[in-house]
Amino acid sequence: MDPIVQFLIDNLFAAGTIALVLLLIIAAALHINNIKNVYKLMGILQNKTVDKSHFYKEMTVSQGSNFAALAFASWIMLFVAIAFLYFLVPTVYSVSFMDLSELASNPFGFAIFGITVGLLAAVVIFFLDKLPDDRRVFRLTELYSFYAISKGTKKMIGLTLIALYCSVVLSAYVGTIYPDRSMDAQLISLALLIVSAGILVMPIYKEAWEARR
Amino acid sequence: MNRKLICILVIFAILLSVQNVVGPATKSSGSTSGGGGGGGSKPVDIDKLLKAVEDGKKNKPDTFEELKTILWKDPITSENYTLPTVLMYYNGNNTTVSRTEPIDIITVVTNNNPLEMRRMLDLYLEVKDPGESVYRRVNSWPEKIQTNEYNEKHNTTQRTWTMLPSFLYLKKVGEVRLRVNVSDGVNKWSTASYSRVNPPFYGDLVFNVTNSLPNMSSFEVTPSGLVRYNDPIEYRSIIEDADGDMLNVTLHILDENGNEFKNETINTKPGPLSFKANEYGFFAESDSGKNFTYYYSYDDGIGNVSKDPEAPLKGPNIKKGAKLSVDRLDFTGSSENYYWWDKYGFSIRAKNLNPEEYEVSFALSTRTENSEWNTVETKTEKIGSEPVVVRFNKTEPFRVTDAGKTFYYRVKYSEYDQSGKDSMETKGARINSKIVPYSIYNSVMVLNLFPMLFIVTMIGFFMERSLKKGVEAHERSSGGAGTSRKESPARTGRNFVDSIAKMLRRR
Repeated sequence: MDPIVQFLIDNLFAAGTIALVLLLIIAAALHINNIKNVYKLMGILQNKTVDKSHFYKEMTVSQGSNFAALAFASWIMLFVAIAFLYFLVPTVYSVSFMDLSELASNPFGFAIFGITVGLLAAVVIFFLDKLPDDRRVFRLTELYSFYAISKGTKKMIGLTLIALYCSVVLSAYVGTIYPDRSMDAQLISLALLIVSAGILVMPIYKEAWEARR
Repeated sequence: MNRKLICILVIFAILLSVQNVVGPATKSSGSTSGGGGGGGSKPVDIDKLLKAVEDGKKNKPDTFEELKTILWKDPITSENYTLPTVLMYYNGNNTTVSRTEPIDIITVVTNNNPLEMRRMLDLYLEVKDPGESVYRRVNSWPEKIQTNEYNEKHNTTQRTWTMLPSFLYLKKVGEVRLRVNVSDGVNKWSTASYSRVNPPFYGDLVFNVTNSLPNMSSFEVTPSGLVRYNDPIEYRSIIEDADGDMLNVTLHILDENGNEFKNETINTKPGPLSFKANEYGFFAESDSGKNFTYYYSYDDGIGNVSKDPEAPLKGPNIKKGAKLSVDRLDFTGSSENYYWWDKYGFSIRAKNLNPEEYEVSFALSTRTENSEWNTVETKTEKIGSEPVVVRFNKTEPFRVTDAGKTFYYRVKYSEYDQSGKDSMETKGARINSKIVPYSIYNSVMVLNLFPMLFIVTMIGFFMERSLKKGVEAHERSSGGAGTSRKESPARTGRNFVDSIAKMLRRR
């Protein structure tokens, strides 16, 4: 491969990784800011200081069980897909699942890896859900309860699960051919990750955008 | 004597100086300094006086002798002067001590003479060691007792002889006698001259010095059981000596008839002791099949123990075994790509250089680069004079972490080979860097990925069912069905499939 093209591709992957990280960090910041703004606005409108837990209670909007279940699955799958892309084999980082010789040598090592990451993500989400009521802004489980989400957006969020499946499979493929590399597969996997993450945090950006307007 | 003379001269000089002050002015000789002319009194310089006396001693010895005779004054004596009492003092319970025991040897002086009559005393400590016929002086410079250092109440003073803190220096134990020789410049006497002295005071302080014999314990020969003649056989024990002396320890190895087979002596400090058979060349191949015994003898330079333990201990028992000749250490991989998941075969050829046939165990180990040896398989084969190929077939010695690394393999055997070694190792090949044995289409991968994706998705669904953040969150926030929630599937007894179906049907 032409070194220049290779350089561009390498940078593209790095840029995509940075974009993914920024996308999630900015979304987190915007989410906190959105809630803060609404809280401030409520205080102005009611002309008094509103209790935060009361505020969160008032803000909560039911999004439906199926949507919530799909959203949870998508978020967990997002973490699994990230782990598969970056930590399955030492393609990107020198630290990888393959360092755990006993587990990695197991014929069902991939499944063990994916399920372990999924469970870890679920534990973290559960832990965040146990935060006190006045810290509900940090609960990933209630992320969508604070936003008005259209049916179309809900469908898109549900469909991210499919995109993330594809990302996981592509990352697994990259793992199976290691030490050979398939930059195409890696980039597509990363792109699917970015798109999925973008859709998952889209309500936050949308709210922030509308608030600015 | 000279000191007295100088003192007198100094007094004389002072008198002269007084005379100069009160008497007529004297004229200095040509060499005098200060030369001021005109009269008046002038103090006499003591240095000049001394110089004049020294010059006189050289140039006019007769006049000098005359001056000495004139100025000589007998030491102050008095009929009332009594010799100070000088005694040895030891405050121990008894005078039987070990060589290492710290001792405080003190000399106590009682001087009842008035201060102006007291004389400075010179003390010399003398010791007579065991077996010696004469005393030897311990301090080369006298220990001085000044006239003004006596206790005013009891007129006593004392000296502790720190140069003799113990009798560790003795090479022979027994009776040690201590005394102090005293001189007051006129009289000389010894503490030994006093009779009828009761402890803790002594005229002649007599110690019975004893020696602690070393003691051995924790006798051991390693490895235990049957060993090969060239195994790392080690005789271990612990030797202790209360006196901390350097010790001579001899290991005596006896043959099956109880005759001394070998002995080796080492000079050591007390502590753990070790004789390594290979280091001293105790055993040879010809000793195979023999059972040996051993004991120790030791001394600390003073006393000795000729046999410890009394009954010789057993060890080592040297077994008869094969003298191996090994070669052709080799390996094969199930594929030429040398993947980590491949099966590997290893082999080594061995024969006994002696005509007998023995069972020999062979242990295969592998490692990659800097990792530790990992035992893969162990086999026992009968090895005789005909070569035998020992094979380790279809082994799976490597892990995914070995991918991309060069491997080494080793066969260790229970006997020594023609090189005197008990193992043979060599470099293998570089293991392929590929780490996943399956392609993405492989059924194993399908079985990995699809169930995994399904399970992770289900984790999300079960989380929702557990947290009820879809509908119930809203209900809770609006004060709704928080308490009137329907019973859980577990409580109602609905089965697992029904609950999932219902969960997916909910809006």
